[in-house]
Amino acid sequence: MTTQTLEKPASTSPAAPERTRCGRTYLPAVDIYETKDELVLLADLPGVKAESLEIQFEKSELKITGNVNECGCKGREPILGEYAKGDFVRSFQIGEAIDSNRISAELKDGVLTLHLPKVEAVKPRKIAVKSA
Amino acid sequence: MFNPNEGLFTLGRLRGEMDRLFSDLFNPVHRTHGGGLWETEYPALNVWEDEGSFYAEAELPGYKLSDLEITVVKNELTLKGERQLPEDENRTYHRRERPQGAFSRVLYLPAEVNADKVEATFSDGVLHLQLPKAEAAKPRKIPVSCR
Repeated sequence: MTTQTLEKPASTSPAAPERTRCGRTYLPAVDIYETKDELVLLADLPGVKAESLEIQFEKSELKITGNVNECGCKGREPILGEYAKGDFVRSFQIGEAIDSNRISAELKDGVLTLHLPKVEAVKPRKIAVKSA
Repeated sequence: MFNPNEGLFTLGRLRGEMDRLFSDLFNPVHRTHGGGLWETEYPALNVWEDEGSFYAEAELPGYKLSDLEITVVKNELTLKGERQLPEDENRTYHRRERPQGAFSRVLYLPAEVNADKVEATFSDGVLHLQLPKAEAAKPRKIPVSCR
């Protein structure tokens, strides 16, 4: 068995678009599960409000961006800093055919629930067999 | 040239490490690691202080205030909670990163706190705590009189 390694020439890989907002971004923890009708994505996005959340779905790439406001801690002396705040950004390649018109999202208590219904044709269908 | 400001452990950090060691021994934390994201204590806390109070924040998305148990004794803040994520046999999980299970964490604050006046609010999955310092712990101006 022969193995081939293909190398992508550097000049043809496109530059990834850069964000215009400053500051670090963090990857939110995500659960993804599949039922027979849809894909469901659950993301932990603490501190993100519904108006600061942006979800894009384009050509089977799903991108979630959640902006977080800086804390109002002026005049306070920090004594313990175990985590830093920053925007949440994460992208996924979705392999299934998704009906983008029926995607729904809900943000509650910092958790995003994203329903990605599968395209009707992709769902497993039982074919009724008629005996002649 | 020896620089006295460089040290492997500052005093504060050493105290923090010892606190973590003891709190893990006496309060075992049961949690399922999703993708190994939670290598440190859960939840991560940020704490600030001003003259009158301590302020603590923790990211606890998906919890409600009723899932949490917050107790304060003198300068000891204990945070406990549990989150169970629903299981369903119709689901096939492709990715499971969100932590679930019970957690318990003790934090030792630098000064005593007035336990009756502690306020806890929860917004968008972030817990905010305001812990007013006990009167005895607040800084007091000492008048100087000349004799």
